[in-house]
Amino acid sequence: MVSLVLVSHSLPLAESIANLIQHIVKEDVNIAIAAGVDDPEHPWGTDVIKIQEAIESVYSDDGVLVLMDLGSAVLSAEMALEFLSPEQQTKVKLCAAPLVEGAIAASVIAATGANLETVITEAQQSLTAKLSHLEASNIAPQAELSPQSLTKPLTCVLTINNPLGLHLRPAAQFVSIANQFNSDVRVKNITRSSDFVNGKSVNQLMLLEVRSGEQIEVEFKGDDATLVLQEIKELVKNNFGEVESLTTQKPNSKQPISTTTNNELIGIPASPGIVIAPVVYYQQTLPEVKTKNSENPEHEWQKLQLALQNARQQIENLTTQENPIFQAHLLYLDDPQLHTQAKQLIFEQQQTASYAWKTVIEQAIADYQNLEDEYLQARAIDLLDIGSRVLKILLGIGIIPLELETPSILIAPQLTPSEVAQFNPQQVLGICTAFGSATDHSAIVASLLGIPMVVGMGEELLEIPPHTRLQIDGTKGIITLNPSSETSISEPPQPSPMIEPAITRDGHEIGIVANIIGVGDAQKAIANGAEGVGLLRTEFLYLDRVTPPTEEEQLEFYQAIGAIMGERPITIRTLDIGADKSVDYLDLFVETNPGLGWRGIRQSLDCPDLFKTQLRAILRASARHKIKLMFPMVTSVREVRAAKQLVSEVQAELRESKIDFDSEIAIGIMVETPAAVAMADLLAKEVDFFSIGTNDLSQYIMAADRTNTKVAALADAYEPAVLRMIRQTVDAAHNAGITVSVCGQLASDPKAIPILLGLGVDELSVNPPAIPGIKAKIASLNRLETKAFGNAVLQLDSAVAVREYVSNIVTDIM
Amino acid sequence: MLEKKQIIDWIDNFTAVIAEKKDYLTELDAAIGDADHGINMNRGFQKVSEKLPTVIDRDIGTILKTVSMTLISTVGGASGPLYGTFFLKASAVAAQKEELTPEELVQLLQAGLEGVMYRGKAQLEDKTMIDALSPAVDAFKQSLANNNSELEGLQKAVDAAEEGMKKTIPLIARKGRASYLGERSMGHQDPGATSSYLMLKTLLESVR
Ligand SMILES: Nc1ncnc2c1ncn2[C@@H]1O[C@H](COP(=O)(O)OP(=O)(O)OP(=O)(O)O)[C@@H](O)[C@H]1O
Ligand SMILES: [Mg+2]
Repeated sequence: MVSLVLVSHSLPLAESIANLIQHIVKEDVNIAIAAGVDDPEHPWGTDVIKIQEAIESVYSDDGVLVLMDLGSAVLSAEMALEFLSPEQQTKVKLCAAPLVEGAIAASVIAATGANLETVITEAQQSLTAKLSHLEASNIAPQAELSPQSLTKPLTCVLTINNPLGLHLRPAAQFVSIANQFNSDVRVKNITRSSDFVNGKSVNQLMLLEVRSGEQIEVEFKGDDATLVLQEIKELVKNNFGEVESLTTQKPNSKQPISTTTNNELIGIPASPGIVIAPVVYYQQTLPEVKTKNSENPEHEWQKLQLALQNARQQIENLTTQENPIFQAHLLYLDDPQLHTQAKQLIFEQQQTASYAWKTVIEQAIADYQNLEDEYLQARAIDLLDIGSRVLKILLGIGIIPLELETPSILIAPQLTPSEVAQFNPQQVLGICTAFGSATDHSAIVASLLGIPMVVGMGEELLEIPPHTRLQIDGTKGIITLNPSSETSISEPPQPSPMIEPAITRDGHEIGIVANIIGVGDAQKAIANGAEGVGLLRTEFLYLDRVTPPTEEEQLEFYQAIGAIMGERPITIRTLDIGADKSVDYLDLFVETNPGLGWRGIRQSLDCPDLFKTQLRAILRASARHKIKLMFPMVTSVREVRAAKQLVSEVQAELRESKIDFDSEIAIGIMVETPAAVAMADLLAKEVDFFSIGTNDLSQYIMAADRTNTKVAALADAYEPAVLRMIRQTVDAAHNAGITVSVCGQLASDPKAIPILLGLGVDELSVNPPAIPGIKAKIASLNRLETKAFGNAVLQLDSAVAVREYVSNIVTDIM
Repeated sequence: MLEKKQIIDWIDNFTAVIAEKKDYLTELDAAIGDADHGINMNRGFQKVSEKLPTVIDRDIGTILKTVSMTLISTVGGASGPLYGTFFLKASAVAAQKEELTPEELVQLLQAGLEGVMYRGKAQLEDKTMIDALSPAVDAFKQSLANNNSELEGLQKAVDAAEEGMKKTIPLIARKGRASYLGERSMGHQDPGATSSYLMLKTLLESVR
């Protein structure tokens, strides 16, 4: 028999109710009381522990119904429930019915041996008789706060008419509305006679597989049931804001793309190049979880909450524009169903947060995959995405490298720069994304890697069936499905690399090294004939994550590049992240002038722990690879000395721990501020090499923000002002006997090479795709002749004049 | 850095403050509730002061957990489960710790606040202790993010709590016993927000 527990502020009140019940019901009902507090002067109150004990005293597997009066009685009863064992919790229910009416109704039905569900329903309806009686006497309660809605759910039957049924976007809208209200919302698919599911869970709702033309029943329970019912009705009536309705829609036109005639989709060009290859969806894999159990469920639960919050933050940072896919990801993160399931695993089975989350996500993915509707099946990818995002945060790991079976074109909603940075251009031949813009960092990374990319293709992109052959034109921003066989198949551009060194006609060798960001373009650099790495940017190790990369993680990264480079030198530039990026663990604040702000060496010196971790990793990598160390954004001798001081400290620590490193490691600086140029003679005494970053140097010399379209054109490296400063830097370096490299965009521009050689630059650090062109250019030049060009351009009065001059000499020579 | 000793002082001092302000808190509750907030809190914290000496050598987590369990079983009013959950969630952050960094202190208060929100399901401007706690935690966080010291941060938190507490005066209660009084609760300061403000103020004084 179901037992009852009466919770009240007043002991006499609870005892009297129990008396009354005995009088009415006659049969024995198991009733326990938890009422009042042990304070003779002030005996009114409720007590969590008393309630827990009362429940345990009458507990049986048939279940316990707890009825309570108001205020703290409710809070205390809820808390008492949490103190019960997990098995007991499932069989103890709190009942919102008014105490006296509810207790009597429940006792009557419990005495018949009814089950817990029935007892609850009966108790909850206990107010109905009284209400209808008093309403009849015209003392109707206020309409909007009708207690009726508390006891009796409102229901409505709705027909879903939008073409795709309750797919992601409508389900997301439904859930967003439901979640704005207190009322419980439950939904069932009448057409398929499903069970009721939680209408606040986007997963549950989609898993109902409601198709166009099918009917759902929605139940609302709570004090704002009427309001939420109205809103939901409205939403469904308006077909979730979708324009086409069933009547205007041809049946079975689920994949608009494959049925279009010209098979073309137009997006925004983001990285140039044309390629044909089969399509694969970019899929995250769920990382492995090693530890299954934890003794501290409370802690695990908190960890999960925190990770969910971080994931939310990441997604919000990622979506600058309205992006329905990521909006939906946010809903998954808040999905009460996923939370409850994970919570149960954590508290009942002592699982770790990561293990529980992985289990829950895998289950949800399986649920989707079991659906008939292909569109809904495909939503498993969203869960995979969100699932692995949270797991990676929990496990503190960065990006998991992508492994493809055949070289393909990748499709994704949107990609982060750090994701793209991990792609191997031999495998990822092209990238198409549904969202994003050409100025996204991920587009810039793609062009560095030489991978054609088109962005902003719209959601239809995500409906292209996997393995479809696709042509992507990253220059025009067009993709073509199943391109006709006549279309000439342009293989991924395979430059014929010149592995020989770059030697001028008069026998001068110019070092050609590469600008890279990761393993992917390291390979490309070698294939194109790079003699080493002139600039390894390390920013991408740090972006899109909640904790900074560990020493080991960085070491692995540097070693992986070292393995590709073999004997060749690798110049690693330490972190340079400014306020235009968002990195949780760096206290970056919005700056009005990020370019002039807290970045590069200034930031590193302010964050010695972070900086020293990177230095340790770099130094450790130097034990087996030929590493050079370079500091960005230097403006003064003091900064260089302070950074070198930290290097010495790290070296001493390593020595003490008997860890190997190259004690002769070359240390250099980026020359990218006018201050560094002005001080070049003194700076040259402090370091082993200079590398001129022409992009930043131009914007600082010209006082023109590269990101401000009105003035960006002024930041032109062809300006004589910039060229004069390059000459000044080279002279200072050579006077001190050190070498100068140029790693900015200018070094990847064949037209600029005669000038750079003429100005005396020793080495060029070039984007991998541009290396063959630059080498060929050098081979066509005579070093001695270039000296004259160098001197001549310094006398010109404008970038225009320099360009004109350069184009003339080019034709002369070739 | 916050030492365990200062946490113990905090609890001790808050016990004294509650005893001293018992009548004041009860009066506030008389205007909009059932005239027992001071009595409830004092009953709870008197018991806490009996229990505290038995765990004084343990870690901060254990100490706060003991405070929590004692409040849960003795306070009697809504503030029992609410402050009980506050200290329970806070204790998890301080588990096995003998001292707290400023960031950990923020996390601890944040966890406590989230506990109260989870337990009471109240939101800002429902005229509850959330109105004092929530802006306080925000202010503390913001202040630390601006590289201010722990003390400056706490001072900001207390100021924010005080402001939040005063702002409860014109509000209509939507949670707890006071909500039954509807509009009549307007014009009176919320007792729970008041005790929460006192709790943070005592924390600041104990750290100083
Ligand atoms: N649901 C809630 N969420 C947050 N704070 C609440 C909630 N309910 C009440 N409070 C806070 O608790 C204070 C009242 O505490 P008190 O100890 O007097 O409990 P009570 O409301 O009298 O409890 P009871 O319901 O037993 O009468 C209120 O001033 C308010 O700040
Ligand atoms: Mg009260």
